[in-house]
Amino acid sequence: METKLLEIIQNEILEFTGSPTPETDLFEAGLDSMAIMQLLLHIEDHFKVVLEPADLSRENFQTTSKIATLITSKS
Amino acid sequence: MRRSGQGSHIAATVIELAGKPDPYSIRKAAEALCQRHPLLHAHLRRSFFTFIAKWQIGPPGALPVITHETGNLEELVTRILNAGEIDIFRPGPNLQIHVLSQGDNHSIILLWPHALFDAIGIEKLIAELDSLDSIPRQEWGETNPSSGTPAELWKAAYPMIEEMRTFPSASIRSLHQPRRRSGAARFEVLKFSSDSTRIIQDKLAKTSGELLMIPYFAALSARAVAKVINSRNTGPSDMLVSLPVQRIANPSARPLFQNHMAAWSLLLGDQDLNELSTATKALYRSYASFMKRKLPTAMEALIKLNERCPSRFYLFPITHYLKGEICSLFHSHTGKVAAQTEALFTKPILNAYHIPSVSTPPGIGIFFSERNSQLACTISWREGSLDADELITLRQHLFDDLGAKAPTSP
Repeated sequence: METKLLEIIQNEILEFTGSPTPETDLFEAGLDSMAIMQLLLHIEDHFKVVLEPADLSRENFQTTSKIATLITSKS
Repeated sequence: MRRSGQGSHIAATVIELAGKPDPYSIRKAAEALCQRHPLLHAHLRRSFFTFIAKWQIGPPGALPVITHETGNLEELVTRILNAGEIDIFRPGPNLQIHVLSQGDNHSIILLWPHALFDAIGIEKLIAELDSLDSIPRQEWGETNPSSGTPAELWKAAYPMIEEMRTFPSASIRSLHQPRRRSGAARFEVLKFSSDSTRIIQDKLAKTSGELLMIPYFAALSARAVAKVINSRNTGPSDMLVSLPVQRIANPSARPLFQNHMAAWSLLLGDQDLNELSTATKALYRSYASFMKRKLPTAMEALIKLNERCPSRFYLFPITHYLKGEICSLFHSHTGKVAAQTEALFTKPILNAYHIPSVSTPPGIGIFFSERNSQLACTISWREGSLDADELITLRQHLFDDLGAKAPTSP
């Protein structure tokens, strides 16, 4: 899941200057409110998971690895 | 653009400083800035054959740096926003720097045209303002990259045109009142303390999650405008929210000049507006639908197509479909202002916020930004669109939804 998620973020959401890893800080790479909304749509489409307001925290979305952990806990 | 007045669509950015900046240093920096960027003394001309507007470089002149030792900030910004001294269709400087010192309060005010800058561009300009580097740059931003023939653009834009054709079935309204003459640009800035900002963020986190700022603040703004419209007893109203969207995902790749953005038009039904959480969810669903139907690409093609026309050409079908409106309100949340800049001319930045002027219709804009953990909300309107009593209603509804109050001063 982590690999698929990183692929989505790299191809559909953000433009990275180098090669991102699961631990790359997504906010430093430009993850803003609009990008989060796009990412949520991809998460719904690809992983069939709808996240609740309480899940949408900076802590949970800091890295691809943390988002993957969140999705796994909701699946 | 010229006839509709959008060529002189002006905004101000206020930067409050802890101490009086040295006017001589600002003038030297302004001279260097002007030499560094030819676009700051350029104007637009349309080609006779293609009708595409292109920048013409004018003779380099000094950027105006005007110091004010008396007067208050609100009066000064109101005056310079309405003075009409910056017009991108006329030769002359495209940036003014005002320095206001009143007792212990010191501010730098940048006055800029929306055709050349947006909040991203001004952010970058502030970051390089305090510099004596005068080497000319060839930075022109996005100069209308080729994107197809008009026929190809029309085909790509067609899904958005079809979407617009559904708008007449909704009762879209704004604060614009056709029987009243549109007057001067007016504004009020609601500045929230760090403590109040924390309370507002806590409510945001509980209502929609701390990361869904855009639908939350847009829904909140739409609800406040709807409250005023409802007080006019003109029947139920739907809200069409026009949201500016960054096209370039990588923040460092966004240009200083002409950072062209996409605009997404999202509809909020009358029933969706009853509760803030419902309105936020409805706006997010509207966004999701917009994305899934691939309307952003169509909207971008439509904007490209419109760039070839005088604004009265493309405003005509828009106002036809929307029964005299363009949208219900302008809105943005530009995030942290001057995030890369701690101090200007050796004086630390205490607070900073934007004051865009708005056109009528819709006659109203509600804009949010943040600096040093202090939220600022700028209410901008045109005289004739919002009465004094209605401003009180609008402000009170914003406070109620935000969950905190603020002193109402610029």
